[in-house]
Amino acid sequence: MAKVSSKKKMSKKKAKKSAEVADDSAVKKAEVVYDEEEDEEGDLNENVTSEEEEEDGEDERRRQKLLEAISALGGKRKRTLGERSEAAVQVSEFSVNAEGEGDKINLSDLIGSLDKTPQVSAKTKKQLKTLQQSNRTVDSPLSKQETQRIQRDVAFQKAASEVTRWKGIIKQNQRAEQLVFPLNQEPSGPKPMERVVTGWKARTPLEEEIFAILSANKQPINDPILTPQEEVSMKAMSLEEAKIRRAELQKARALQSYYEAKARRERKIKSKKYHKVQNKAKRKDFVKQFDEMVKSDPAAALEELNKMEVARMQERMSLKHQNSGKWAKSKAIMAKYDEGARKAMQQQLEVNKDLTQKLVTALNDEEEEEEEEGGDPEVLPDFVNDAEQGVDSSNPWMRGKLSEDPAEKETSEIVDLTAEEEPAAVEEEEEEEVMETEEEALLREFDSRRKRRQAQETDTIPVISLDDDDEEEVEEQKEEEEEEELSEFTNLYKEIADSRREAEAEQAEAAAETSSAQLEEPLLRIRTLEDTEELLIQEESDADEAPVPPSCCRKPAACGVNKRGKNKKRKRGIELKQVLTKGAKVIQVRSLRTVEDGEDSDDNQEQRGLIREAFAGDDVVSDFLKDKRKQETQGMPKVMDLTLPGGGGEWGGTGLKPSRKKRKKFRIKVAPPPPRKDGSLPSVIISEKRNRSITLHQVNTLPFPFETHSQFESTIRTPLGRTWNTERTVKKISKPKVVTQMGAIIEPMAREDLMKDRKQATAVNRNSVNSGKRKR
Amino acid sequence: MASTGEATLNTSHVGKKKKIPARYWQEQQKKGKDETEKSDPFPGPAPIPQDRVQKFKRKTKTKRSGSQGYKLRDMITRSEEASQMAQKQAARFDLLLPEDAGFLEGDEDEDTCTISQEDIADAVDITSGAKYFNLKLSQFGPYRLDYSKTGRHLLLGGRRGHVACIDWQSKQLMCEINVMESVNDVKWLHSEAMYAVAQKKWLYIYDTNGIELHCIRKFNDVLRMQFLPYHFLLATASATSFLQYLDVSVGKEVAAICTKTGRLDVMCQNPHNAIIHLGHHNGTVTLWSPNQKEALVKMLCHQGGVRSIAVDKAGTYMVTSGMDKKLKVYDIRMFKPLNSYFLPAGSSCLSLSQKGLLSAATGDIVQVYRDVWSTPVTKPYMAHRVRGTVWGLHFCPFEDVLGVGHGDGFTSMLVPGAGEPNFDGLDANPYRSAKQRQEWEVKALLEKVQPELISLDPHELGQVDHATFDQRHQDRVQALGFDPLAKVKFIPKYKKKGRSSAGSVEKRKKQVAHEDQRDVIRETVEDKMKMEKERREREKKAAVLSSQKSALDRFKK
Repeated sequence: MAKVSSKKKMSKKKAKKSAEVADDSAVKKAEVVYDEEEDEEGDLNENVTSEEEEEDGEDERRRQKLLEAISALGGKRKRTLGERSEAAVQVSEFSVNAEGEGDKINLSDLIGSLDKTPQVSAKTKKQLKTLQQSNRTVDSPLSKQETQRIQRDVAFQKAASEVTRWKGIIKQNQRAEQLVFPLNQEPSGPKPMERVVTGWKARTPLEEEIFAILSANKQPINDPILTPQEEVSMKAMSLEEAKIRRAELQKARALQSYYEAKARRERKIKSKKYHKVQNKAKRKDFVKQFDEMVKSDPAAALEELNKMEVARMQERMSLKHQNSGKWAKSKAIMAKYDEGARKAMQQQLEVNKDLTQKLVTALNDEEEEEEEEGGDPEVLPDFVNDAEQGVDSSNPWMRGKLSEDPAEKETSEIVDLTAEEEPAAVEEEEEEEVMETEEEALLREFDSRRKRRQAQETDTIPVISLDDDDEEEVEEQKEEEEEEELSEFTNLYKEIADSRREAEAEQAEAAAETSSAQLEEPLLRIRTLEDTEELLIQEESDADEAPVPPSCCRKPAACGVNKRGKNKKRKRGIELKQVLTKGAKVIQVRSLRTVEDGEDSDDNQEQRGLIREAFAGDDVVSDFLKDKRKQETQGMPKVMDLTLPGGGGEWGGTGLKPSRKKRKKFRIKVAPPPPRKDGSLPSVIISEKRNRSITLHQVNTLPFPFETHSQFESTIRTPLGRTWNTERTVKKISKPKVVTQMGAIIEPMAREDLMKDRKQATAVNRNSVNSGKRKR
Repeated sequence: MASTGEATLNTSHVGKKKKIPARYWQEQQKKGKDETEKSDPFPGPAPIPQDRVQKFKRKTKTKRSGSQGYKLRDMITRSEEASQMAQKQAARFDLLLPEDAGFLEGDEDEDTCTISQEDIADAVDITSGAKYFNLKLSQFGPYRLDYSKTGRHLLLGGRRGHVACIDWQSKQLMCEINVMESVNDVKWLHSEAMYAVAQKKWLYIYDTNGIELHCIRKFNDVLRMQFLPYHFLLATASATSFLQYLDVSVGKEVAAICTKTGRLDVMCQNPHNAIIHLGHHNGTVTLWSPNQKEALVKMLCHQGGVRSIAVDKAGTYMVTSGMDKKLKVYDIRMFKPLNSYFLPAGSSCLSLSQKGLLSAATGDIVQVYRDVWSTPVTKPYMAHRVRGTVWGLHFCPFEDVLGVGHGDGFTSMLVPGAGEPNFDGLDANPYRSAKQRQEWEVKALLEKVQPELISLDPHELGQVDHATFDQRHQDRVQALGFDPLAKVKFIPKYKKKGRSSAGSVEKRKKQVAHEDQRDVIRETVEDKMKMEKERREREKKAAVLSSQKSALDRFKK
């Protein structure tokens, strides 16, 4: 909307500008009026215009007067505005003139004078009239840069939309766990979908509807399990496809034979008239086709044109149809008396004319016509166009108007050309146009017509035979010539027909492809269904396993553990009883046999042990505690004391300490270290040193997609090797991202794949819905 | 013309489809389907017991945070799926480990510990019965012993220099030598082809033919040895309080740590994380890794000196015995004591079997306990008296056999339920051939774990290093021994002819300092200029963008 409005503004501006221009032209108009009314004055004025450089002041004054007089004639008394007075010596008539600023000048005012000038052609007048009737002002064409920019924008958008169509599949492939190239592989092996479907009948209305659709689309529904041979043949080509193809081949063969038969028949026909008509029709057909070709395939058209040109040149160079041959000379002698001879000569000349006539085609005239842009349905003489061109360059309105709809004009031009080509044969035109619609129909029609004519000609032929007994030679010659021509045309025709047939064949192939795609579709769907079912099963199994609550495999063997560590956090000392002689159970050892050489008796040992128990121990524990404390203090960060003695009005000297306040102020406390790992374990010292050697092997920056350490750690927690996993797991874990088949050609992805994928996705959805339903 | 073809097509398309004649396989299929429909009361995959699934769980998954990109989401879900699958599959395949551990059951009111070895040997089948035997080697005793990783081979080292390796199941003597020196300890290396002997002065390595392969002079006065099979490290504890690590795959000393705790004659390894436990005379147990010069953990376990340590296979429990005649069970993950027992005579040697049976030797009696950690034990599971004081105890892997080395030779005891019944054929296959052993050796060497990865928590490698830049820099400085980013201090060159007077030296120093300062200033000024320029350009651009060109611009100044 905004744009539109701005454009409107622009147009308004332009309108203003045009108003200014109109001011200029107002002067002109005045002159014109003056021209019309007073001739002598006009002469004078002309004088003024011609000699204005020499005469200045007086002429100006006179002109002013004149103008005033003219304006007085108009009736309305207008306020004359002061003329621009500059120091310049001469003020031309084209200089800015504010006179008549208030009222707008219409096109009609300008055109009014046109009616009276006789030399302006009717066509221009008409055009101007149409211009007058259309009220709106036409936008000036955009500048070259702008149009190019717009074109670029549009092209970019087009390309972007084209490219974005691939986005989905590309993303899908990027995200896929594994890609197997070539991508579009046909699934081998049996199709279990059909097996799934067998023994299942549509019951609900929805299912019935779906089946109705399936059957309507000729999709396999019930149990199409095939024998291996059939499968092989299916793989090679499906039955329907084969049938279609066979039918096509049959058709093609039949057509060919028909054509051949017809050609043979036609060759045998001796009727001159028939051949004439035939040739004419063919030529016309050819020209039409040529026109089409000009549009669709200009290069080939040019080639054809060249060929034709060569033929024409040859014709012009030779004296073949110039009435200069032996036969013609003899005929010329006869011509005085013989009507038939005269006719024959005339015919020959006509042939010559026909052959030497320059073929006017759209291809030749294109450039000119584009410039012309004058296309009216009526035929116009050239000079009109020329004049218009002259007008065009100066007149912006006309240009704007005429550049609006070139497409229509082109069509009309084509019509013109055809009209130009055949001004005479108006009666046959209708029939032939019908014939041109389809060549087969034409040929058939011709057949029927020929039969009719044969019936008619049975009357005429004897007349001819009576007429020209001695002109058989001539006829033969002509026939030969005509045959030559005919052969040329038939060649062309054959080419065209071939091309058409090829096109048809291509179409048929495409159809076959689509049909094959349709045939493949169910297979794909089957596979996906199977997959989904598997997935479902997996999910189910997962679901089965999921709800079981995760119970601890082993409760922390807490039976023997005393909870000392928990309830006494800050307790430093070790209670010997708890640590070292904590609830020791005495184990009775029964010696089974008394060995002769057993030296130590039990009593002895016990005594010794008691003594050792009594004496040993204390220093061990205290040593350990000391050690532990030392370790702890080593680990603690030291407080930095930055106090300086003296200063700030304090006494300094030996033995004097700075005040407490000051010390407090300049003491930097360090954040306490994290709690020691052995904080709650009184009898254990755990080293807090970092293990440097392992850090070399550790990951120290988080890899890309991960956001937290725990995510990464959890993904690498499961080992991958064969030592820890079963073979299947290893294979699954170490699946390569991309697999390429040996020797397979990997084609770039085609547009069909895209479509197929989309279809597949929809099919999968449908299937999953169906299967879900079935499960229920 | 083409109407006939079309007609045929029409019929083929629109008309009813011809029924394909019934095929024999269809019927079969139907039958099969019916049968399965009738007979399958358990659809879907077989359920897996929850506890078995739980057994193979690896950490809990993290909770999902709010917004995740699709890439991250995909990655997480995929890894989650994979780990779930791995877990389930492992649980499913657990079924393929059919063997159960044996056990010993007495009659009513009969203690199992009263059942004699002879009775057991009589009761069991001949091959198992043959596993109870005594070797009377009174000449060079007392004996230390070691079983190879597969449990096939036995290495005996007599105090007085007798070293013998035996394929003990076939009782075939592989080699027997006397090193003519006192032997402190013997240890198999990664395979049964080589073993290490800690002799009076040095550490020696022999092969199965008794040929001395190496004498390692760097390792002196070794008292105890441990071999870390996945790291190919031989850890030795010496009388000079050195803990040393020898990489046997390349023959290099990896680390030598002075523990400063006196004579080290108590040693064991944690098979879970390859940490070495050392027991000391002051009742402490220290944990060591080759990467740290100080003990990772120091625990006070006993009032007297520590006599023996053992750690279970899963690295959960540690059992210690001390001079105070106590037997203590620790949860080594938490460093918390679980149980404490008083043994009237104390125990000199401890050994834990794969299934968690604890054998303790008190004097000449070998006692075997069951479940020392979960429930308080009052009496032993089994007991056996040998002929001399016990010097070495070792459970045989994958066998219900306990080897006892004592003053009068060697005794192989039957302890039902001691060994792991299901062996991993790719890891330690007791029945492997020489070829298989070679294969395994290569693979094991390829999968060798580097000593740097030994740490208290073996999962540490899978964690992200949270260290700051400073910390990392510090680490680097420590590793290199100097600060690579530090500036070199300027030392003025000495000049003759009185030009190196204190004043001139100072002047030169100042000059250099000024030069440096000037550089710094220049750089900052340049930076500033650059920034200013960039800013101006940006502004200009913005101005150009903001103000559309108008016809009146030409009048601007």
